[in-house]
Amino acid sequence: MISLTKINKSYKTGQGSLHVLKDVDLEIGKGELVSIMGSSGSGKSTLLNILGILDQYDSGDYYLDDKLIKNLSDSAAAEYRNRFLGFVFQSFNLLSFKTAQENVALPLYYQNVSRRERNAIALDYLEMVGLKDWYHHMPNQLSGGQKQRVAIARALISKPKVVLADEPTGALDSKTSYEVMNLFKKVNEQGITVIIVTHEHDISRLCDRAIKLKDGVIHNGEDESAFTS
Amino acid sequence: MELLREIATTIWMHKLRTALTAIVLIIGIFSLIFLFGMGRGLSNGTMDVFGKFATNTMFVWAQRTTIAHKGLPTGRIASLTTQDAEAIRQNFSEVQYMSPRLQLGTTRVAAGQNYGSFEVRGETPDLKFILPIEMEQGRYINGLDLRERRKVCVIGTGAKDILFKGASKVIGEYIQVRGVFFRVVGVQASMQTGDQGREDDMAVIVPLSTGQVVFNLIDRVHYFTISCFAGVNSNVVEAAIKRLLRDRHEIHPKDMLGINSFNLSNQVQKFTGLFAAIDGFILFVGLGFIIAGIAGIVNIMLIVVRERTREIGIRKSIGATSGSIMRMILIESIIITTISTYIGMVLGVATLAFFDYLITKLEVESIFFSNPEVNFKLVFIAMFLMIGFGALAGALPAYRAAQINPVEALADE
Repeated sequence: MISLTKINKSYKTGQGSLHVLKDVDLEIGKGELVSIMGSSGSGKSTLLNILGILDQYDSGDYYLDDKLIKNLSDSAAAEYRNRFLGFVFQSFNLLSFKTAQENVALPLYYQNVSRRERNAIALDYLEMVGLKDWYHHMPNQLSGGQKQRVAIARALISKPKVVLADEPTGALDSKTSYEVMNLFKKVNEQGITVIIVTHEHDISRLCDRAIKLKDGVIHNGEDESAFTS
Repeated sequence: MELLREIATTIWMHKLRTALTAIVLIIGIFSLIFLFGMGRGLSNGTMDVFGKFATNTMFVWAQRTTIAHKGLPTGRIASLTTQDAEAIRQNFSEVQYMSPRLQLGTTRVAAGQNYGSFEVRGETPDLKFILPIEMEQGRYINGLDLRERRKVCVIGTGAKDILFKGASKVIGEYIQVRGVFFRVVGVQASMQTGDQGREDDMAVIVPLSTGQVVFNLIDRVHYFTISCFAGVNSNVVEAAIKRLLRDRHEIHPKDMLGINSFNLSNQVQKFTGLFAAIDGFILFVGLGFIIAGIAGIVNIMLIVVRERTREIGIRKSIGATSGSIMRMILIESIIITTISTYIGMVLGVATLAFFDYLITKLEVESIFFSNPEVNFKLVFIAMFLMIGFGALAGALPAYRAAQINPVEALADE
């Protein structure tokens, strides 16, 4: 599903450039539930942004569902994000002035689905995450766990091939964290590839596989203690 | 449609922000329309003073001479005559109407038991076409009255009210001037405001020839009121008429006071120029307001884009293209601009209408102010301009929004 070869990425800084990702090779198969682990500054967010086509990479090749993702036009990138990818963020990133239902329906707005139809579909997805009765609530009337479930429903509504989650449990207590992880597992069971960036071992252990990143390099099979911060 | 609904929701959910954006522009448009209307009111009011006066009218009269000429001393006053009128008529084809006029002074006039002091004048039929007067009843002095020296008269509405208290029909009634009876054939009403209008409303007018005979002023004329055909430069004709009169009355050609004159077209031109200048000034100030309004919109839209960076980042991460973001901001800007313009316009026009109502209702129509109004064509042009300006104002913010990098936007707290 995802194939990265020799991906490099550096950022320009005041003095020179900061090499964030160094020759990253990565294969993630269809239907996998993987975590990307690493301390802050390890490059895991950058990796996720590249996977999510939110950011460009300097060299290497990135294939998403056998399509080369390189030098895409703005509208093509938007189209891929809309059709292939679903995002879940640590800070939920719901639009505060829209109801839960409207937030979930938003990706379909960009697919030109009619308002009535997309709201009906959004209600189905809210039901799936157990928030059907909360459809007309505004984000500030929801708890953290509820917000994250709304965000997951939004990520799923466009039937993506891959769901990318950036520290999805970072702002949640452990009980709700597990609830959210159960939801991700349920999503994964439907055959959707789920990639979760986290620095929590508890969360990582719930995944099929952990990809460990340190200083922009992937380390496989090394001792977990090396990543304990 | 979907886009409009999406934008409408955004605007509705940020009422305060939108209102603040709009208010500058609303005030700007309101001020422009209000100022323009008031300027027009001032201009209308002042122009009403001239009424429907033939604006190329001049007045010519004789005064004491100031330069000795042909052995004659200074200080003489030439006696203008009916023959001078004939001479002017024969020599000047540019003259459309010419009225030699006789002033009989303020005189006691009586009608039955009622009496009052009125200015009595001897006039000719031409004057009706020069002065802005309307016949409220009956007719004006005509050629037959003049030829047959009929003892008829036209009285002003004010004089009518005093001499015939309450009576509505006064045609055929008689009034007495210095012991001589005149039959009323018409009642005149001035269309001018101010002193001039009042003067015509309080006048008693007899045929020139009758006045000359009855009051023992054979052939005498006190002054001429002359109007030229349209397109004629009345200043040139004025000078030539004065040359002719000076020549006929042995007055030095350079004696400006010996034969003096007043040309209304100069006056009208001065006012026309003044109001063009006022209009220009108002336009300048108004444009300043509008530019400030637009700058305000650009400014606030830029802040809005900044404030919405995260929202735009989210929208992009779930599949919004830069184009769709740009459209969103642009149309939002146009909607805000158009609605603000419309509100400002309605407020402006409503305020002017209210002023107009007050002026009519309280009858405070003053000499220098009447009927504030605004040209609707101008309003619509302004409105379309504002939509264009809205697009212009939204362009930079929209471009900025489209350039927002979703990675940075999502990191934005």
